[in-house]
Amino acid sequence: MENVNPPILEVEKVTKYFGGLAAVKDVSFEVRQGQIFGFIGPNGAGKTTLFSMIAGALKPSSGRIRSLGRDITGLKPFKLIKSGIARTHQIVRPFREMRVLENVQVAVHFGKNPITSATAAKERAMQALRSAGIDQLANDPASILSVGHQKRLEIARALATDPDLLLCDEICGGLTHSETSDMLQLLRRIRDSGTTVMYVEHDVKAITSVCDRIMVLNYGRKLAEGTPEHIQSDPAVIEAYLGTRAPGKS
Amino acid sequence: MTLVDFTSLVVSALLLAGIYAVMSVGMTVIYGVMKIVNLAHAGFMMLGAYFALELFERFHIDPILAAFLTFPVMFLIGGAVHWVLVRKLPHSDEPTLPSLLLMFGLWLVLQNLGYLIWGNTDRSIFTPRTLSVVNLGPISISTVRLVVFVAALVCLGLLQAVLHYTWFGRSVRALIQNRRAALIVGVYEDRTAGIAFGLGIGFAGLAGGLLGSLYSFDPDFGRAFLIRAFVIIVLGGLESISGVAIGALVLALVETFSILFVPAGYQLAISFGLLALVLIVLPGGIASLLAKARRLA
Amino acid sequence: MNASSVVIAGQRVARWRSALPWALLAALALSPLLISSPNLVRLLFTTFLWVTTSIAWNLLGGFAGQVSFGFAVFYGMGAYTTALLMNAGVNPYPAFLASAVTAALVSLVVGLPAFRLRGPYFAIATIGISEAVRVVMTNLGFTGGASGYRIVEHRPFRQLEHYYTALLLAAIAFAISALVAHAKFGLGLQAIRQDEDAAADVGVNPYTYKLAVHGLAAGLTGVAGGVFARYAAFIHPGGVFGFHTSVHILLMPVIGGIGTVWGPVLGGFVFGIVEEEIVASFPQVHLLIYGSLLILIILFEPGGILGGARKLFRRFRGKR
Repeated sequence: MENVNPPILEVEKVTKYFGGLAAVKDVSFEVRQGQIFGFIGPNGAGKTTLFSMIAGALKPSSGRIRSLGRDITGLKPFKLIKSGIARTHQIVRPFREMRVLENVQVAVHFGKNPITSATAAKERAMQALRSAGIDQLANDPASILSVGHQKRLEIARALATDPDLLLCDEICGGLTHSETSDMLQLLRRIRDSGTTVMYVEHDVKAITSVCDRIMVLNYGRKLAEGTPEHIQSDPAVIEAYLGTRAPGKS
Repeated sequence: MTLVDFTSLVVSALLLAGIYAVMSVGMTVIYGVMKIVNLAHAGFMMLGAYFALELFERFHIDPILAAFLTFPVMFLIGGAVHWVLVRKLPHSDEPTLPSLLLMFGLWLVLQNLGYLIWGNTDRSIFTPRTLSVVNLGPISISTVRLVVFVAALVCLGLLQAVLHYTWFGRSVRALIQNRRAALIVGVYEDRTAGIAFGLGIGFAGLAGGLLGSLYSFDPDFGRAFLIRAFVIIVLGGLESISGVAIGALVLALVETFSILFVPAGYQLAISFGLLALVLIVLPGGIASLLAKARRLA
Repeated sequence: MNASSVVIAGQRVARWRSALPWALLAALALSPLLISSPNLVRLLFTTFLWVTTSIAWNLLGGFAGQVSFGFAVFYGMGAYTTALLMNAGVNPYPAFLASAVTAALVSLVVGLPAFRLRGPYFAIATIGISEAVRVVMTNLGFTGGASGYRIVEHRPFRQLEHYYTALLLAAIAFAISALVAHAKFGLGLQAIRQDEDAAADVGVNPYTYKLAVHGLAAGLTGVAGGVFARYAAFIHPGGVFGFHTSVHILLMPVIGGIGTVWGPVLGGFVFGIVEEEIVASFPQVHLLIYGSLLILIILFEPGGILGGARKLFRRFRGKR
């Protein structure tokens, strides 16, 4: 059934120059609601730059970014939250002097549907922690968490802002094999509960196993876009990134 | 305004820029290597001025020479301060609050030492040179200003030479540009930082000694210059000598020409107005542009 | 000790803690009536003003992590606003309110450019702005310039009225600080202090939040300046706008325990009392003392007196 709503994310000919070098050149794509959309690419392909532009950390040199029809190009992160776009960080950035619950509580207070009362916010924060599977750590100082738990905290915190679109920056970085598959399960649950996920990742296996659609970047340009099967069998992609025959999902 | 007047002002500004530059490099080196904003810089400038004064009054050493003599003394003091205090601060890639407050506390201590040793009356270094004037064509320049300017250029030149042609200088530049990478390739952070700190304090003392020939001073001396050093650093960038030179030039020009419109008492307010303007036009100043670049990670 | 007795002990501690501010307030409110000593009243009056500015500074510097060396600007603006208005016939209490408003407006003028800078750069900018204001006020004619300004109040001087005004102000400041600490506003400030960019990534607008807390802190400090001006009846730029005033305001919360609710109160009391003693006996070393104290605190106990006391208390409890 064709989704006729405006796409949750519409990136149109976005370009970013650093000095004379184009880190990202004329990249266009759409993310429809209810998907897990991933993008991959070799080192230097411009993934981080593109992600940063969508997340509001960088302004594009040219091009437009839209969400649900509204222009969000160059908006600052706190404004993007109000537009329903939240992000996680590749290198985790918890509020180290707060407890886990307080970390998420902040997000609840300032998210898209902000809650002012501290008690109500705490409730909502516990819910977010439960969705991320770390509610048992609620009273622990955020600084002592393991990497896997800190990544989940990033997700819980981002989810607590009630986003329509969740931007995940290499959320599986530094995780063990089983932690990775748990994390991917979490992403699927998030998608199934109605939040679209846009996912940047290095780990090709992770991306191909969880995403509904994948875009491949190379040298700052879009190389290919399609379903995981399509991408894995695309000769240009194989040549540029995967090298030899793509490992199948099985 | 005649051409002669205009040129006079430009020359005046140029001379001032030299002073401002040498005053700011001390802070820049320490900031660049250790990301510490050295508020005690003012205190060390003050010590330099008094030290030069003492050498001049007790041993009749030429004040400019005395200023250069303060360098090794202050260098050692700087090294000692680093060893005892600064080394205990946690390392960071960004300036931290504790380092700021530590240096501020040190500044208070230095001020008080100044008051205890020299009292609170204004002092100045007065030589025949102070009143004499050099004539370059139709323009007359105060001799002492010219001499100080030349001394400042010599200092800056020496610093550039050290930074670019010695092993130590390369370590310093490496730490400034990328601390972690520098550590990986084997730069000894503590030792280099200690030497860099000593260098920064040495230059503070030297600058103070030179300034002492130009202005009268008391133990609170240095606060106005500290603020100017900061304006220069924000204007010109924090991590290069040429940036400091640019910032110093801009500030000196603004201050010198502002005398035409505004009474001299308001000079400091002008410097700050300039900073405010820069911050509004170039939001965040140059410092936070650098922070934005770092944010990409 | 089993689980339930620990919980009960915890509740007992909690009840103590919430009763403490009220007990203290009652004690301070009653003391001038019980102990008749004008000196003590004067000392406490000054201390209350210090506590107020200490709490105010801590809102910005402790909670939000923005260290300002320029709070003398607000203190001085408050002092001069009250002074000028009172001499124009205005009642002191509306004048105090006007002081709060003036100080808050000035904080906007300071904050709009200054908060574009981060951390230490902001701090240094505040030094400069503070100095620039002092220079301007020293040169201004209608405020008496460098020689100062006198307030003429056509009412009898009642020391107790000043005392209770200052106590009320300090109590209000404390209440604001305690309420803010655990509410949305306070959490937002803490988030900004701990990681400004991550705070923005979860929806906090750091710039407006900093401006808001700056205004609140400035307003409180301005009223303190106004209350002081009325009491002293004579103010001059070197005093109320002086750099040393900014230094003292900053020192108190750092000494007492930066970033906590009680720390600034502790720091204010310690400072008020110690300052009186030191200024009396050893005026020439007080910068040395404060500077060394600052260095020692930074290197050995960044949590100030409160932090040190907590550590000792925990060690004591552990030994049982």
